[in-house]
Amino acid sequence: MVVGRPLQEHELVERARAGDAGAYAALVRGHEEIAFRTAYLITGDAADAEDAAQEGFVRAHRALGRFRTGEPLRPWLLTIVANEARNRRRAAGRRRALALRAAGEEHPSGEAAPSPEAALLAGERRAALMVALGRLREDDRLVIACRYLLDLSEAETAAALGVRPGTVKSRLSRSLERMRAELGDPDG
Amino acid sequence: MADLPAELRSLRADWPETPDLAGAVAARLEGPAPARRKPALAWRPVLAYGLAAVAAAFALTMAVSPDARSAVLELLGLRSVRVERREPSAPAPRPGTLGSGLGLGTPVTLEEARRRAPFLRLPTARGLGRPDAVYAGDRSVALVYGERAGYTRAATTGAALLVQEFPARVEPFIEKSLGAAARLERLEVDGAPAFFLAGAHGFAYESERGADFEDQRLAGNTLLVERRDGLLLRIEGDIARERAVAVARSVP
Repeated sequence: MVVGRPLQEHELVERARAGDAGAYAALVRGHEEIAFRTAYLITGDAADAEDAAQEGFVRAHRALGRFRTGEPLRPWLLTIVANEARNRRRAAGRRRALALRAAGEEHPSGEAAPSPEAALLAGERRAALMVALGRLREDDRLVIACRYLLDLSEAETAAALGVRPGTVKSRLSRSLERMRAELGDPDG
Repeated sequence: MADLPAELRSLRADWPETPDLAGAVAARLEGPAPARRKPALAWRPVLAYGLAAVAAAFALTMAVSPDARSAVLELLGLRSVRVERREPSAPAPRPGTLGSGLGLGTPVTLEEARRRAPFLRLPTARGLGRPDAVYAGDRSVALVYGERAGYTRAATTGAALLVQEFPARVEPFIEKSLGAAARLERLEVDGAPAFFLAGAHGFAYESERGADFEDQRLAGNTLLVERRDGLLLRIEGDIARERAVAVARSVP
């Protein structure tokens, strides 16, 4: 967490509104990764996700005058980008499987590397988690991926999925249950 | 077994590489529209330029082709509203007690509505007083007024005045279908873009999931104002344009 970040963003928004192209580019730079990944979760296709995120940022620029000063920008941007992503997904007309795999483990420096057996087990578990996630219904997969893989807040997840925050909470707990069942984990 | 949310959080996925969106967006905002953009977007700036020269308030006839029409209306500034040119297929509502049967949401007290919808502002137009019924919907609040001096009961709602407030969005979430009998005027209310729809027209909200428009009903004279503070006002009743505008302007 960067202290003072909301103020900086607020200033950038003001400047972007006044026509400062560099300020808007800085805002896009700050949010492009989360926007692209959110779009990718929805479209399941990197090219569609890039299109959706790009179009979303262009639309957001046109709509900046209506952005409520003082509110966080990220959920607002995610709403717009996710809408674009859903439009593209609908246009593509087919459901794509989640193509994500677990990346290799990296240990924080200074920590001892786990034994080869432990590393193997952890690797298998990571792969099993991704497989289980991929097998879930789209609703379940999206809410889990937004909340835990992207680490979006409940409000941001709600914005990305176009649902109410309360819906995120209840859907998430149901989706986790289904994922535990998929993994063969005991409840809780 | 390990805590699943914690496991998922520590999982690192092999995301595709994030493209240089900042560069691409900056290029699009500066330069001419590249080929990737939809044709409808490409000609938008040209039309916007032409329309800017037109006087602030004018009536649009229904002669424009359906496609061009919805594009033109989006241009006029209310992005939360989509207007289609077709005869409304919706039935007239059958209102019971004030506002019930209009799909406005859950009946609540004014205090509860304020809690659920912090964006709520009460109109203070003379003679209006407090609403007789209040409903909280999904991202909306509705104030229903019974008959009182200057406001007669409208057939479409069974109420004298219906004021709905929504946080405006970038994408359309209200759909209007205008038949031949309806007339549409563009206005400005205190500098904010607005439409006045005279005559019965179809009316639908986007569903919560954001995918479809649902619950269409027939609506009467309606003023829509997309305020610069992000509040979308919808005022419906058997009232003239001037009175609807006065109500809208009385919303603080």
